[in-house]
Amino acid sequence: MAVDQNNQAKNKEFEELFLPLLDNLYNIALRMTRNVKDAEDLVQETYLKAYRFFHRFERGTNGRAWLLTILTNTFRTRYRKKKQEPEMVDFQAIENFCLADELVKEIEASDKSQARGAEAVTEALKDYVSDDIIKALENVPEQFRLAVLLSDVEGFSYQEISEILGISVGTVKSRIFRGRKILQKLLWNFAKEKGILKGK
Amino acid sequence: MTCQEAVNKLYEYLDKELDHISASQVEKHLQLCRLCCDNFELEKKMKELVQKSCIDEKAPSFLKEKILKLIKS
Repeated sequence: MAVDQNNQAKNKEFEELFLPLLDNLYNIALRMTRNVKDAEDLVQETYLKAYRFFHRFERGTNGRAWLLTILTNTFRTRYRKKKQEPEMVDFQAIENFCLADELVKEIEASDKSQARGAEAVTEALKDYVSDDIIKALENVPEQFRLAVLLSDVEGFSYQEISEILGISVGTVKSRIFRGRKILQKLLWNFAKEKGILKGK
Repeated sequence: MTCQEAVNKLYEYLDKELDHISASQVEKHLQLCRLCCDNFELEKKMKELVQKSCIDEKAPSFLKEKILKLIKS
């Protein structure tokens, strides 16, 4: 009877702490696995592991960070080898790529009279829809994509990301930097392909 | 602060990783330099776009039920 009560209390605590985070995990899983079926499996496995190791969760610490640590570890061991990563883009070219510069050039070339600067740049960005962003993001190599997602989507600090991924803060910085640059380059390529930029 | 120094610190500034002093140095530069300011605006917008694009999906309800079932079994 006492065991049952303990279990009930444990289940209740687990549910209250972690079930509200289901959508967060699902969204990250979706962007990492790039398909619904694997995302569902990944999330399910994450919760199962979290439940099994619930006694190791330090109460009062960040539950979202803990779950995402489990999720990323599970992802790395289980899904990493499953799918071929998209072909790596030329790194040298990416390091120096600056979407703002390219957009400004494009805007200036297409319409001299158009308002330039920040306004024009952010205006040009409106042509990208969520699907473009997602498609580009999913083509960013995993390690960089994960760092960008944890920063941009989940809002974690570099320190928190370093703990989640088990890498140094310096490595987090460089992964975020590279991830964002690759993303920008891919978006730029899409824009060219689709001709969504004015004057194309 | 030069443009190159500002560029090097841009992401840390955007991600609120800089201490007070460094952050205000970057801010000062952004106020003075249109090019860096444009660049920053774009990076900020990109960060928002990535966030917005990746919070839309709701986990299917059967997944929640499945997890609850696993816990209780």
